[in-house]
Order: sequence, then C-alpha cells, then structure tokens
Amino acid sequence: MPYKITETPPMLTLEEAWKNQIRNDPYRVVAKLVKQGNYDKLAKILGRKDARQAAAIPTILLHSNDTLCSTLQREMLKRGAQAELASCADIALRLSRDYQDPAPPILKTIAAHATRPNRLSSITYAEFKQFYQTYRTHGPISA
Amino acid sequence: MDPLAHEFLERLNAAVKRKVTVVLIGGNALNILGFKGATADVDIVCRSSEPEVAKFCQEYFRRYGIKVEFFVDGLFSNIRVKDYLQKAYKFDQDEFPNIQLKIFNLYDIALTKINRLLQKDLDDLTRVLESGAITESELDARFKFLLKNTIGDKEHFQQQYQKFKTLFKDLLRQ
Repeated sequence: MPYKITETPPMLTLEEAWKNQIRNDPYRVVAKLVKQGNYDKLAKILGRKDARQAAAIPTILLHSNDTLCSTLQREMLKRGAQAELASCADIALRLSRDYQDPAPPILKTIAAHATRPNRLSSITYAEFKQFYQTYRTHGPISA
Repeated sequence: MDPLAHEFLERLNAAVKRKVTVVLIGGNALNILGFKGATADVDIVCRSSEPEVAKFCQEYFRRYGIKVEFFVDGLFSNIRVKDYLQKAYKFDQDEFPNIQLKIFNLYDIALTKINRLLQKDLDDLTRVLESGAITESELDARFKFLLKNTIGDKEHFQQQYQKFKTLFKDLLRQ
C-alpha cells in the first residue's frame, strides 16, 4: 500500500526491531548480549525460559542440534559468507575440501567464531581456516 | 534495530542532561519501518540547537571506536532536507526517556539513497519499491522540493535521480 509523504507507515517497536534483527543477522545481536551478560534479554528475544538457559546459548551453539540453534548457525554462516565470500556453500566446500571433513563441525566452528564477543567484524576465509585448525587441535572453544 | 545503534542510544540517553531529538536515518530507519532486517551502520540527524548530540557522536568514536555518522539540521553531502524534522515520523518509546526518537521520512530515506546510489542503496530501494510503499508522483514532488533547496551540486542530484528512474522504471510503473 502506498503512503503519502504526510502519512506515517506502520513502524515496529524497538522490541520487534530487535527480533527482526536477530532473524536476519542473529550473530551480532547474540554477540552483543553475550558481551553485556544480558542473558535476561537474550532469553526473552530467543524465547528461552530463563536467563540460565540463555546463558548456555554459546555452548548450545557448539553442541546442540535443536531447531533454534540450527537456524542461528545457518544464519551466522550466511552472515559470515555475506561479509567476505560469495556464498556459505563456498566456505563449507572449501573447508571440507581442505580438511576432508563433513559440514557439521564446520558449522559449529563458525558459530563459535561468530559468537566470540570480540569477533564482530567480518571474517575472512584465512581466519576461518586458522580458527578451524585450532578447533581441530584443541576441540570446541567456548564463546 | 542494530545492536550498535541501540547501544549508542543507551549511552546518549545516559549522557545528556536534557531531552534531545535524534532522527534515525538509513538502515536503522528502514529496520524500524520493517523494510530491512539487518543493518550495520549508525546514521542519525541531529539539531544544531542541541550541540551535545554531535559532540557525543564525535566522542563516541574516540571512546568506543564506533563511528556514528551524524548530519546536522538535515544537511547531507550535497542536499539539504530543510523540513526533515517536520516530515520525520514520531516514534513512541520509553526505553530512552532523554531522547525524542524520530524516524526519517520514507521519501527522504529514498532520496538520500538515490543521491548516493551505492549497491546497498540499490538493494534498499528495491525493497522499498517492491513493497509498493511509495509512489512515483510523491517521490517526484519531493525530489523537486529537495532540489530547489539544495545548496550543493544540483546537477549531480538530478543525474542520480534520472539514473534511478531508468534503473527502476519497471518497479516504478507497477
């Protein structure tokens, strides 16, 4: 529906805008809230029951296969890919080829990388490789 | 709203001693208007009568390393949106009591993007036009108004607008 310049279109509330952001670019929101230790808000946004559950999210991202985490992982992967590479498939393929590993550990690595509070900037393939090497050597790195 | 923008507003709200006006522009404005899910920039318009906001933006970069792009009194690189405050949408919120938050008018968002036409602007314009939220006739009228009040390179703005009309002719006719 077209709006005249004098008409106000519908607007989201701040809360809805947060939700919209987390749907489209979850890693930035999760990273910010984890950094702040604001797990109450994280729990609310993610629809988790309590802050204790939400506090476990960075760990959940590494170890769980539930739908929410899978979605977040997928979105994080997309975001990383969007920032630096042509497609998320490209990252997965290149890492799989280099390390002869299947996709799931790659997803977990990327999720771990993306939720690290100091890793808000875009991620390069070289960084992924380096991070993945550490992952393979030392196991999952908690966010 | 982007976490960086949210954080900026939180800190500004705590720092100012009187109620100030902030107009969200660009990606964050499109986010609030429901046209864009994610954005990474913090862009605002502030008033010269409230210099503490511009000063805070400058300090913000020094203190936190996050650049907040601010434009004073609706003056952009080469266009001036003279009546930006009257045309901006009032945004009710109680999270930042020291800030009167407004959202840049959709037509003004479109025209400032048209004036630049980077890839991200083309993406945003596509989303807005596909939604059918703006009309060509209103956009033409607003363009003429802004062009008349432009203090910078009018020719550039005109060329960009023509380029936009050519690029988006199919969407504009829908």
